[in-house]
Amino acid sequence: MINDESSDLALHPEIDDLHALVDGTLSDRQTVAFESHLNHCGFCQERLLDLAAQSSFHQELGSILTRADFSSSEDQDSDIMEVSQTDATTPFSVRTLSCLLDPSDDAAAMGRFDGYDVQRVIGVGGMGIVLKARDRSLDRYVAIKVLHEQFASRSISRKRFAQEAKAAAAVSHDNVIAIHGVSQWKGLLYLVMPCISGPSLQQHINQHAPLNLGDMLRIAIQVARGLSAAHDQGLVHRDVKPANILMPLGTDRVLLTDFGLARMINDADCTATGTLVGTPQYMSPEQVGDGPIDGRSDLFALGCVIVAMATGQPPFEADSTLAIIRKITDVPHQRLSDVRHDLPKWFVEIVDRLLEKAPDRRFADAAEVVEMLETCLAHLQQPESNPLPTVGRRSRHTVQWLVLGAAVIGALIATLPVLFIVTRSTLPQDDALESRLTTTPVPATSSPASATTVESSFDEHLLIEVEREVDWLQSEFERPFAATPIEASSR
Amino acid sequence: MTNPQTRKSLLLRLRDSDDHDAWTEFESLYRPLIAAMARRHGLQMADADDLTQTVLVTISQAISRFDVDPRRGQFRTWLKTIARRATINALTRRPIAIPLGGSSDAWLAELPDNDPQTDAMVKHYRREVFRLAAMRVKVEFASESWECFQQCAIEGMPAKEVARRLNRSIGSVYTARSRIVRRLREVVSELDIETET
Repeated sequence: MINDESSDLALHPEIDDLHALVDGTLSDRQTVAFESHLNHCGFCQERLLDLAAQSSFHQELGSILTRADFSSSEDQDSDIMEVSQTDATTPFSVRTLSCLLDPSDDAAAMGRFDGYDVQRVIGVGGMGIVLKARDRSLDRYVAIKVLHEQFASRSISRKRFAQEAKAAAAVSHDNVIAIHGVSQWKGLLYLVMPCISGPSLQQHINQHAPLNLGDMLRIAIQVARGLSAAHDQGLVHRDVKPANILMPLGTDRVLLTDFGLARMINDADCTATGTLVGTPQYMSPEQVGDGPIDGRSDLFALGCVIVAMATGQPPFEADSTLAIIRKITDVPHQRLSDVRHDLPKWFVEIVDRLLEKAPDRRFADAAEVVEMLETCLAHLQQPESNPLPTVGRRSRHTVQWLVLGAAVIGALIATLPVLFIVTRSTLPQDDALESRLTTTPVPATSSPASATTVESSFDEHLLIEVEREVDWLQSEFERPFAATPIEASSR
Repeated sequence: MTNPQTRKSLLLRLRDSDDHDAWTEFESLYRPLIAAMARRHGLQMADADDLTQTVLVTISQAISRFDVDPRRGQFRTWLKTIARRATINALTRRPIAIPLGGSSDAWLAELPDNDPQTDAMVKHYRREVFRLAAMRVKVEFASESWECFQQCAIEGMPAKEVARRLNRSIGSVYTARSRIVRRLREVVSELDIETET
């Protein structure tokens, strides 16, 4: 095709034809013909480029874009950057503060905020600013979340805000961040919370997704426990998302944060402006619609969080807020089993049920989810002594599968001493545990079926599936719940 | 369940009416741009999202008050100007300093400070516009065409050399380059007012 002189054009192409070439509306034959003319005609090469854009645009393009813009953009975007006092790229936060703060006699502090010595700015966002400060009276570090005047004053009464914040503060639970106090200073509403050092689940997902089943279960259980405690107090979170789940360093505990407050302000905003504030990616259909909201809305969000842990992305993604909302309300989620082939069916079904569009079809409440997930985690750790619960009301075939699966596991344990030895070698040498492993009757097989009959009554396929699960369980035992060594801000 | 008292977000109402085309179009165009600016400016993901949303909402409110005859061209120019201004202002000004009881988007009307920092931000913004446009356009073309464009237009390699490397004709390198440049120009001018003439 190079330098195909035979199809060369004697004359320069008409300007309209060049336009058509750029537009891609020429026939293949014409395109080839013009291109072969372009092979050697410098004049038409220039014409073509002029036609595409003015020379200033070509220049600008060359000076602005670099190869790196296309190759490593993802890495750049996922950088976790911390706002600090000396960070020259965020002059606004420092400027803001310097106007706001009282002088402090602590030389290391930026100034005083209502009696707290402010050490530095942890974060700045559309909602407000978060400060790390020292509480002198109790000699501890706290995080102070100051709400923008813009949010706090608009269409929501301070009294109601304070009431809600106090209700959130009343939830005392291991998996819910404590709120030390709610107050206002110089007309600004603020919350005082413990200063947590560790990444958010969002950051954890950015770095480690897809997470393994054990980690997902452990995190989901804690989130569900926190939700359950809050729901018991009549409080719906309304903004459960990975960015609102903190993972304090040096512990396996996770903490729910921003309870009720963020979305409450946003809701008030919606009333005033009819506009949704914040990403709707983790919102339930009833939340983006106009349905009444209760704790089951948070369960839907929990389902979204699990999907984000499993795949790195929330289940409903699109270019615009509107498109996301449409997906949330109208489009069934993609089943986890389509994306992750390693996840057991029961897990996929739990997520399916959390992501039911109709609240009535989800779990009844967070407590039920906790119980379900705990049983599953127990099963994961000790499959022989902990049968799986039934996930859905409608999933009859699941029950069958579980019964069969348990029977096969029983058969395997009874008939495959090799497998047993391998399993035992990965567990602590504990006699009690060992005897339990060997003597506990296998649930779901009421009559101790003889190995041969059980074996012959199941197909290869199922056996392979069970073996795979046992292999996987072993690897799970060997891998401790990884704490992430990311130094990041608390919120 | 749908009593008139219940709140209903504008975005849901949008599903039923088409008088907010501008807003949705605007949102899909600018959300990634503002978010990229915010992130590159050192905000963490969640905070960048918050800031983006604040800017979008503020502009959407301004749009609803844009009462000049909304002829397409005029509105477009206004929108590009306001989007750039709002983004730069939101990133360079103090978020809390919005006056008590004042209109929440008064700061939109303020011209960015005429100082080196603002100049830098304008350049920064332009760069994000180009980056975003390039990301969008890239997926529209075959990867070999994109390679042609990238090697000639961005890395400044002679067409002849690019053709040799990619085993294509020089003419087809020119076609690919001009197609992609034109498309980029369209997307860039959709997002931003021309900084140079």
